[in-house]
Amino acid sequence: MRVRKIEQEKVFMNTIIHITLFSDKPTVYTQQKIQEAFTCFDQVVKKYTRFSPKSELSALNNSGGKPMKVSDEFYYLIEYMLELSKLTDGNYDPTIIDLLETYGYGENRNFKELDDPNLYENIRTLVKKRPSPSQIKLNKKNRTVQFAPRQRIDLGSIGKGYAIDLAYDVLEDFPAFMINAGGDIRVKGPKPDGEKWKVGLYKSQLPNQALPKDDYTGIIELENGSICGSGGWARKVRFFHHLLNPKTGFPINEITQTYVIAPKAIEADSWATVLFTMGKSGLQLLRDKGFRGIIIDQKGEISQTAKII
Amino acid sequence: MNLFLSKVYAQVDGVVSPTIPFTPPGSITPTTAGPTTAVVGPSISLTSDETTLEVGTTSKIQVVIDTQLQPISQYSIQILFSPEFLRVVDFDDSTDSIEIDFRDTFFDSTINEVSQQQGIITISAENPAGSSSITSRVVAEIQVEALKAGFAEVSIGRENSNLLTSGSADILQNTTTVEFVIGGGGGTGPTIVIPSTSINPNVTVLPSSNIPLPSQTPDTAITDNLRAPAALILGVILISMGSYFIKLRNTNESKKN
Repeated sequence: MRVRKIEQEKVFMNTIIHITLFSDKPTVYTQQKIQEAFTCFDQVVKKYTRFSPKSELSALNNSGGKPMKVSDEFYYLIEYMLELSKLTDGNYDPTIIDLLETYGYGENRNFKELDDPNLYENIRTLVKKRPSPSQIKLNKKNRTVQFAPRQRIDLGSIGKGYAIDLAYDVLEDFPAFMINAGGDIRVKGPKPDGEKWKVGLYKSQLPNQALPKDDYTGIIELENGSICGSGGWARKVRFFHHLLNPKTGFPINEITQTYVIAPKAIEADSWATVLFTMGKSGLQLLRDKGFRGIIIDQKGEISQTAKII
Repeated sequence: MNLFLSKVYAQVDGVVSPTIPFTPPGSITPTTAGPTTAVVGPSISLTSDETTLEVGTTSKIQVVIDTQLQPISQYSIQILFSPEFLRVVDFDDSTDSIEIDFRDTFFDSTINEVSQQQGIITISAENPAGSSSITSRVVAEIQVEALKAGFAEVSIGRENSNLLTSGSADILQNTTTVEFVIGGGGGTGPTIVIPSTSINPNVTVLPSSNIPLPSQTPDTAITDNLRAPAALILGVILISMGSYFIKLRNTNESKKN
């Protein structure tokens, strides 16, 4: 059967998921698999959104400091994030919901907190007293997780990457494909013509300025891997964006965007956040992991693990 | 310049850009099925799961804004529907007025009105905290009920819709339309989404941040399409019939001779 190129997209996770796939299999089977891949994104949201009281994540966040048994999948994800937090000396912190909500980044959609004259002090006070991710107790045998009082977790930094990986597994028996979840990307293979996938890097932007769109920062050729980005300007409201330094509680403005190339999307996704919070000191950690990374700072200067662009 | 940009964009298979956490505030699993047509430039799109409805059934339509990472401080959207065929289901029964489900998490709703008689939905929102960009975000959801068999369209009233920057420049370039077939048998198919480009002299067409340009999907395999084998079978029948008639004529002529 000849190889055919199929492209489909759907809206999940409030963004457009675009799948480009080269199929050598029957059409009905191909379509079924693509639809199955799309549902992975829906499943991840349903299980791990913090805005639904029915999600497993919400149940854990409401466990009130008592040990709670979680699913194997959820345990794996929490373990992954906590290991990353430990490896980065707390620069990656999956428990910063409390800080984000202090800025007004909660379910209510106003940012009145940004006008609070005490906001700065509120953040500083919270940073001093809030529990650290290292206080979370995991019991691998019983699959239980125990938070410190008032501690909560969020999968915002890995959820999309993890969903991409699930979708990748569904499509794995196709010869070549690309899953693009609103800018987070994982590809399989070179394309059938032997060419690598070409991914454009959105050009850097100075804080509080419109994104210049006259060119790419670079174009990366990708084969059997993932590339994800992190940046605050995509949803910046005045001085606030969601990428905070967990140790100060304040948004990081020295860096405008980071990109990480890793085998899996969960790795690229989470390490893009790590690189954003750690800056250049995170590049060596990336090298140690065998990943590649790019940092673009507010001046537009580029730092890389090695020559990528 | 635009030609050059298009050329550059066409060189890549995808564009990686910083993304937001997968569950931004207030978003509770808005999902939309069905293939959509990619649009280029800041857009307001309508998407729906269904394209076929029965009288009395309902369908949800998502209103999606993508500013292509350009910051805006307010927006207004006028949505036009066919009141003869569709009725908007009131999202909030506790109020006298009819409203739709406003879902934007970064902007405050300033207008949320539905005129069932005129077939007009108006929503406006602003961000009092400052300007913010929007990336492929569902800002509202409309539930419509089918009233009468026929064709119904839900579209964006371009003249009364805008995406305004803090300097009051309108950057809206594209809108899409949803069409429904009401009655006429069950079953649902992919949503028909028609992108319509409106020329805004104040803005330049720029490459999409994360929406790849539309590409052709070859549909050449014989088994992909029932029409192809049907044509083959018909051809075989016609050739057989032709051969039969020629043979019959020859036989008759032989008998005459």
